[in-house]
Amino acid sequence: MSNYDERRALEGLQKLDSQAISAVYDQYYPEVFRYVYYRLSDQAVAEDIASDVFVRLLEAVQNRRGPQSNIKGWLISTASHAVTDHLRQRYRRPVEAISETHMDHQPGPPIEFDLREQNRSVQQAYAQLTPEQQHVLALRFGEGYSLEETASHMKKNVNAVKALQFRALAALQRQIGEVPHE
Amino acid sequence: MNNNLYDILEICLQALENGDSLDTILARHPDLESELRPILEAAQQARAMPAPMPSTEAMRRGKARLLQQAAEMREAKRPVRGRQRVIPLFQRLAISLSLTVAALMGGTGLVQASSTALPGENLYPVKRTWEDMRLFFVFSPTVREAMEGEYEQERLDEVSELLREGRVVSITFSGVVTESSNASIVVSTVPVAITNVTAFSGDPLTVGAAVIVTGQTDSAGHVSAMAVQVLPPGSVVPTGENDESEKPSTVHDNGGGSVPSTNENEPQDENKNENESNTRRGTFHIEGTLQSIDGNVWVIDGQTVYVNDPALLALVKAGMQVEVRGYFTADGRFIVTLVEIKNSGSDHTGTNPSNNSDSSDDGTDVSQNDNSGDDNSGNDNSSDDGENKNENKNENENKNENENTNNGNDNENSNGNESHD
Repeated sequence: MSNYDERRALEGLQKLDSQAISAVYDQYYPEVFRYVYYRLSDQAVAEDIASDVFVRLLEAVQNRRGPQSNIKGWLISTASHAVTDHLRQRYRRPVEAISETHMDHQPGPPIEFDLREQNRSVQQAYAQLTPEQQHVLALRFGEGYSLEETASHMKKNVNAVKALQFRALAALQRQIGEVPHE
Repeated sequence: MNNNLYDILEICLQALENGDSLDTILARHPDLESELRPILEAAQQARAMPAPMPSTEAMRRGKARLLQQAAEMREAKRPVRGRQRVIPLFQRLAISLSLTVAALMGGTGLVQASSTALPGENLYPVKRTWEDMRLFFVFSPTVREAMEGEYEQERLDEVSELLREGRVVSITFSGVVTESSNASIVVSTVPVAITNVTAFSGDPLTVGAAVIVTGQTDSAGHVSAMAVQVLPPGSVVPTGENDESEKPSTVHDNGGGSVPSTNENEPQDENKNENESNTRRGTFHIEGTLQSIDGNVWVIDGQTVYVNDPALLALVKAGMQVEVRGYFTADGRFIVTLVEIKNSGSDHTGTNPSNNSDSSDDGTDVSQNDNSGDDNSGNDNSSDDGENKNENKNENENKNENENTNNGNDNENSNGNESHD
């Protein structure tokens, strides 16, 4: 981890150097995966999309459309677009209650069951937000990025992100209140 | 007002991040509590949403896929060799299709005009390209082999024509060595001069060997050989005999025992429709002393010949004076199809085996002369061989042949019943 050098990594990606590619993957895959999982709450889909994002990185670098300095920012941004695309496709071809199928329904203690139910409600509410609102919450609360870092990833100024996160949280609260409880 | 609220929210979020309780935080902003509480509760729930680490297996799979992709990209980045591989194929298809279209659209005149072109002439490349194109679209191995044989024969004919016209042109052709000496060889009727610069390759050069000759025709009627490549057994080459009835049989000089055949008794105008493969193969004579018999392998004055028909094997003994007729196979072996026994001082003593059998494996027909001793009773030269339906159509010819036989002439019926493969 400490040996990772962003500049060298970019050069290695350009040369399709296997070691450099592996280093970039090891460095950023967990963050990309967490981001996608936060957005979709689907382990398998998150793994696939995160993996796709790195292939796109490789292709973009070869086509000279890749990142010039900030690989992580490029990856998260691409992951955000990939999730949006996925959601759009899912909207066009809806499958039955995806969140239901991927929730853990194994029997357990009542407290854990309540927690899972609460998470499910939040996830359902979260899914009702706009992509931008989902994005800002995923960065701030899923990835734990600072306000400034989130602003950097979203290519917005800090004040805009402050307003956006306020509206996103307000919308989430509203949606949680509207999610039917079983 | 709003900006102030957003700022305060950020302060509250950081306090939550630092572990302060919700009530503690809201107590710091009593005037905004009603607005901030639901927002901060939502923030707490958003923070509680799971964001697990990926599984090791998922990471391994993803990395393998990525490295595989990188490998494919690296391969694709080597464009030069790839293009060199692809472009010739594309050009080949394009040229072939263009020629096909040109031919179909009425351009056959050019192709027809080129059909008689000889090496060194402007239309000769068209002729060769047309041949290549025809082969390109032939997928049946049998048909392809036949066409290749036809083109090899064409090369031989071209060389003969060049020599006849005394032109000096670089050529390459293949054939069977029928004569050999230090300074020259004869390859399927084409005299080839061997010089100090002639390069030999392949197996040792022997009479009967299939060879590819590269050299130059000269005005003296020879091909001056630059290179002679002896082909391995089994190679298919033309023998240089287009039509037995039209050309004298090539004499195989086996070292002194053989004499040229005059073919004086052979009908000259029959069997025009004979199977081309038979005529192309040609017929050769060997005459001399049968020195040894080892199964189906005979040696006549030093020349090894092969006898595949059992009926022939029973007729002869070592020491006999014989004349045999046969052909060279692609691998250079001489296959006997007819035997005439010439005992000392005798012109003709029991000639050929005569059972009208076409049973020879290599297609030889050993029994054309079944008429000796009968006047015309042997006129039924009709063979059982259904492949030779064009033979013996002319009854008069058969009669003539029978007469010849009865006169004791060494005539073998050459009415095309040599149903070679």
